[in-house]
This record gives sequence, structure tokens and C-alpha cells, in this order.
Amino acid sequence: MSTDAAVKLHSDDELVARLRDTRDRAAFEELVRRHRNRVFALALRMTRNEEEALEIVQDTFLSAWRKLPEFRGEAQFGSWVHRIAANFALMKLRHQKVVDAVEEPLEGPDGRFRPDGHWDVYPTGLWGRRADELVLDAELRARLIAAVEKLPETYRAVFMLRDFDGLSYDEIAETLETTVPAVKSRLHRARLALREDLATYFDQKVGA
Amino acid sequence: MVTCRHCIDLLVDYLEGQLPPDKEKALDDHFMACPPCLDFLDQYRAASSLSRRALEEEIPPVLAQKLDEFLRKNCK
Repeated sequence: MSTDAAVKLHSDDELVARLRDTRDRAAFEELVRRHRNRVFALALRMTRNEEEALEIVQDTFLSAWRKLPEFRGEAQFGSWVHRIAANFALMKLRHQKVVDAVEEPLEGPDGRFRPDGHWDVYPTGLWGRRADELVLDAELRARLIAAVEKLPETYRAVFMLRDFDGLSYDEIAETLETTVPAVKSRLHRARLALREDLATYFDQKVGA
Repeated sequence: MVTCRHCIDLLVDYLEGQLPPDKEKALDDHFMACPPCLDFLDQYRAASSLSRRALEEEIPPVLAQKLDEFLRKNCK
């Protein structure tokens, strides 16, 4: 029987093995503790609502507990629970929509080019160069979160799963029941939209 | 010769080193010679990295407790 303290020293893989073999509650609770923040973050951005996000987190870890005998460990435990969470989030969002509502494709200026492929309006601002040094104050954080939450749901899911959670393209494509090229295309569009939003934000700051 | 637009279209694969070597070199050369594209590239990368930082959350203690109670009750 492992103590709580001992459990913290184990890797995810070791905890998963322990959980699969013996249904060790301490191992499960430690895995939940390690992954709940990021699963919550994903759920929160998808649902934009704390209570609904909590439901998704609950359902996700309950599902993980029940399905663990099937989990072969080909993927990381973290990736696996994020995929479960994304599925629950997308199901919930689809249920909330009017039947047959189709997601709008994310169009938008992708940098403003002339027909010959050269810049029409130059991207300005040095904020891109110093991004790692930028202090993430409350205003900027709120702005970024709003921009992510404005993305249509599949674009948002792709962005979260790739750029936040680091899942592979194959994992994301399988989760969303689509192709890798479609995932990459959505990811690109999502990043372009976020860049555009940030460019507007920083341009306004300079002008102020 | 790659156009600016074409470079931007290829950013996902370019940033992950997934382009064929000749294409990657063409983009490398282009970015060195085209300041607006380089600015855009920096901003494109920055949008991802800034968002990643902004999106980190800590589940509020009240919700964490509800989660624990739920799992204790339902995980048999």
C-alpha cells in the first residue's frame, strides 16, 4: 500500500500501471491532481463557463477511471485524458446548438496580400520579437483568453490541443474525426486569427 | 521564387521542420531578405507562445473539492 508521499515520486506511467493492476486510489488521486488544472483549462476555454467546465472535468476523470483497463499506454496519460476531455466538451457544445447548425469557417485577413503575393500592408510592431519577455498582465491575459474564446469551436479545440496541450496531429485528427491536413489548416487559421487580434491590441497601445 | 503569401501559407510545417529541404531553404532565404515576413513570423510564433502562457489555469479550490467528492462517490 503506498502512502500519499510515496505516490508523488512516481512517474505517470508508474501510477497508471499501479492503477491498472490494483485500482490503487492513491495513484488515481495523484494522477488527477497532476492533470486536473490543464484539463480544467481546456474545458473552461471550450465551454466558457466554470460549472460546465467542472462537469467535463468530472466526466473526464470518471471515464479515465473506468476505461483504464483499456489504456495501453501507447500515448501519454495526459494526452489521453485531454482527448477524452475534448470529446466531452465538443459533445456538450454540439448538444447545445440548434440541430444542423454548421460551424462557420474561420476566414479573415491572413496578413493582407496583393494578388501577386506581396504585402499590401506590412505587419508592424516589435511585440513579436520580445514575446517571451512580455509581462502577462491581467489586461493582456484577458485579451488573449477572449481571443481564444472567440474562435469557432473546432478551431478552438485544435488550437488548445496542439499549442496548449501539445498533442500530436494524429491524436488530434483522431479525436476530431478528421484528417491531419484539416487539423493543420484549422491550426493555421486559428493562429492567424490570434495574431491579428494581438496586432490590433498592440497597435492600439502604441497609438494611445 | 516564393512569394510572401506563399511563405505565410506554409508556416505550420515550416516551424516544425516538416518541409522538404529545398522548400525550407527557400523560406529561410526569404525570411532573411524580407523584414515584413520576418516580423510576421515572429508575431505568429508569439501569438502561440503568449496564448499558451495566458491559458494556464488553476482549478479553483471549491471546484477541486467538488471534483474530489464526485470521484470519491462515483469511482468504484
